[in-house]
Amino acid sequence: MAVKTLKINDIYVAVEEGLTILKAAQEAGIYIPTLCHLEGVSDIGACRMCMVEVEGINKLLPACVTEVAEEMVVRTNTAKLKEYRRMNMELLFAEGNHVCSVCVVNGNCELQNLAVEVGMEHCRFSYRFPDKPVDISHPQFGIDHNRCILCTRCVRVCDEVEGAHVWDIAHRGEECKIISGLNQPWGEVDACTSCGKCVNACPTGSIFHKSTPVAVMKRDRGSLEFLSTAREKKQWTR
Amino acid sequence: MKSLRRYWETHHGEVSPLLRIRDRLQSKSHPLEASEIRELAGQVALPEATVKSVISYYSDLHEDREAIRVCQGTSCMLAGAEELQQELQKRKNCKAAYCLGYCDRSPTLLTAQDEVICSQQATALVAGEKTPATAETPPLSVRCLAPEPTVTKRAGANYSSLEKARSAGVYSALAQALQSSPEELLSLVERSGERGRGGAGFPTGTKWRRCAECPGETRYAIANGDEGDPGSFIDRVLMENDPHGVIEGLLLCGYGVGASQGIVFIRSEYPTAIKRMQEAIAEAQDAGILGSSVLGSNFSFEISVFPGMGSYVCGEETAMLNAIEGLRGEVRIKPPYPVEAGLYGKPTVVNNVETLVNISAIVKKGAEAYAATGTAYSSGSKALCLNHGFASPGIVEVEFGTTVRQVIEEAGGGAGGKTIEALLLGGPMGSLLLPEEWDVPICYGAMAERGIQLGHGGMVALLEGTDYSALLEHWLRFMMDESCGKCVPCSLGSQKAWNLVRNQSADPKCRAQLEGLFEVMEEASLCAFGQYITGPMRQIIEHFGDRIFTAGGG
Ligand SMILES: Cc1cc2nc3c(=O)[nH]c(=O)nc-3n(C[C@H](O)[C@H](O)[C@H](O)COP(=O)(O)O)c2cc1C
Ligand code: SF4
Ligand code: SF4
Ligand code: SF4
Ligand code: FES
Ligand code: FES
Repeated sequence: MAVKTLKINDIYVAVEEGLTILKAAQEAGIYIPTLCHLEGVSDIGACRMCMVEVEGINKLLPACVTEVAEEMVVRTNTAKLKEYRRMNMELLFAEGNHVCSVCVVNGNCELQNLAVEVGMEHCRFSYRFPDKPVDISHPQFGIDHNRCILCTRCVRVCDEVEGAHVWDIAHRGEECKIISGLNQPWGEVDACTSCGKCVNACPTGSIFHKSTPVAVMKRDRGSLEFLSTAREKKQWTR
Repeated sequence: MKSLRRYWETHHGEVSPLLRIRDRLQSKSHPLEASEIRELAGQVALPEATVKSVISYYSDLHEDREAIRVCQGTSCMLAGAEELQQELQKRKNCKAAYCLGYCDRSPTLLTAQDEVICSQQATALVAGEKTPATAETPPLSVRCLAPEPTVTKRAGANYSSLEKARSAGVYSALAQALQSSPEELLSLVERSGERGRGGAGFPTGTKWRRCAECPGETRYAIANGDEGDPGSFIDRVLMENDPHGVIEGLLLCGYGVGASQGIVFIRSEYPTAIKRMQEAIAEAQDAGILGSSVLGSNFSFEISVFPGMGSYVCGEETAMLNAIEGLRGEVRIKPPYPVEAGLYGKPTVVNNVETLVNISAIVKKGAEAYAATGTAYSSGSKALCLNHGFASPGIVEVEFGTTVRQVIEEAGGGAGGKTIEALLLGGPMGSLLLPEEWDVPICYGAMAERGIQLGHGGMVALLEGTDYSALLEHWLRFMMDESCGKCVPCSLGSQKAWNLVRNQSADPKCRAQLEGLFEVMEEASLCAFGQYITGPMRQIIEHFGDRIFTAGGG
């Protein structure tokens, strides 16, 4: 096994070849914000929250999909990066209807945590206040499109781990929307096994357990990671 | 780890699911019922949700097929296309398209019967005249300022029949190259110094070498005829008038890199190009130029045409690969590059149509003679497309090193004797040039030094009296309509920026907010679309901001 040595924020890190900058940082205990990344499913490099600076490369690189290289010098927290992450966050907030005080995951939301993390006290863009639907046709779960940030974590977990492929993205550009089945009510999609993986994968309050009162839902992300490791390494005991 | 892309494995690249979905949709006059989509999903081995997703992604798969396409590309927009569509819509079924490849004769319409109506005829049709006063569509003008024409050699007239093409020398370079090894061809292209004409100016020989040296049996060669940039039309003209020249280029590419399958990807806005390419491929197949023994050699090569389905981003090579594989036309993360893992995961070369047409000239002339033309950084010549804003619009081939000013002067300046205030070069991801910048030589190197993007060489003249506020809004509308939606800065940022320009241009904070947004798009977007489309907009704001921001913020 070849080892690559790199420097992240002035700390030397030695990791296995082929790992991403994100993994290397995690091993070294260095935090890089992420949103579309989810342990156990493929990475798409789409949310752009994990962008880092790499010396000698004149553009920013997404840590979740960039492999480490020998003698790489990475910075994860420069003023420039902080500003972009914040702006990116504001774009997400202005797009949907995120009224945290009445949300099922208030206090347990990755989006909310990140907003705090990047120091987003307010949003400089005018809110769009879209009128998006809420689908509670599924007996156990619901999806509120107003809170969806189109990270496609639900799409990937349902396809890659559960193998059901209930979700996909429809349209393109700013009109993108998550759909279940043939853009039909979730409860009518036969492919859904009600396994709940998408509920655990969702970083916001978009997909939720029904009958969950405001601010008590906690995700069981560990079980998700366990499942995918189990499948890959064929280890079925925890 | 398995990812969503595994579904292509089930069809082995034989018939793309996307083509099957399109054919099914076209066999019906109404949108498919749920049960029909279910059945279709089973046939193409894609999840139901994915089929639904794909149909909603590509404009051609969900928009009205009978509607007249009204071009809303930059050149036509400047010719009043928006009002034209509003007017025509009152009587006829219309939909917008971004560039039909007749920018030298804007405004332009394309009927469902594949008939192009442009210039005064288009305006006459809208005005309700049954038989337009000027029956003749003005012809395309093709000129050459280089010592000898390379790309435009056969572009000015219809050379689409094999006989005519052969009498003009097409396929003689192929015969010559087949006499020597692929390695010799690779080395020839490398030494020629040719750079790709698709926009980025990447050295063609390097790309071919990388692909040829990737391990594996199967490789693909793809001609990029998507020509999405509003303002350029050379690829359309080449595919229509010189399809055998394109086939020869692709054959040479296949021989050099060791591919046995080729694809010409052509946007659906170019129906005649699709038809002529298909006919030429069939003719070449019958004549033994394509097939299991190319010109009697043991090189085997087949070509098929893949039609685009109405998405600008599919001109980007990895989005194009996704489209061919039957997925949404979203851009892939690079690396891996297509030369390593492209179509169906195999090493793939994607070259622009104009790039490929140059190859036979390199073979015939020799690498050194080709490299001696143009500049040290960019060898050869480039076709520029001049829109109707010039006194003499059309295609002008110039040797690299010619200045922008020389081209504008050759074209007689602005149409109708008007002053050209600024020049839009290279389409949406190109540049805006003020007259004082026109002495820059046309060369990927010299232009990059000054932060100028040549793009695909489209030139749109901005005449005195241009409404820059409308132009800026147009640019953002294009971005909103065409962003693939994968990454946050581009898909959401475009909408926010458009809203700012449209509704808040009187707000003193508008300009700064807009520039802040542009910075995030440039720095954090996933592909060149989001990263470079801001360039011309920044220049519009810098030079003409006082005509856009009414609160004195300019
Ligand atoms: C958004 C976007 C659109 C593009 N559209 C085209 C196109 O229409 N035609 C083209 O040849 N290249 C286009 N490109 C560039 C291609 O990705 C690719 O670089 C090119 O086809 C390579 O060919 P070349 O090396 O011969 O230039 C586009 C790139 C981007 C980012
Ligand atoms: S509950 Fe399971 S099967 Fe149903 S949509 Fe969610 S992940 Fe897919
Ligand atoms: S529903 Fe949740 S997991 Fe799915 S795309 Fe939206 S935010 Fe992401
Ligand atoms: S920059 Fe735009 S076009 Fe490119 S990947 Fe992102 S959303 Fe898609
Ligand atoms: S976490 Fe890396 S781009 Fe989303
Ligand atoms: S034909 Fe309208 S912009 Fe090209």
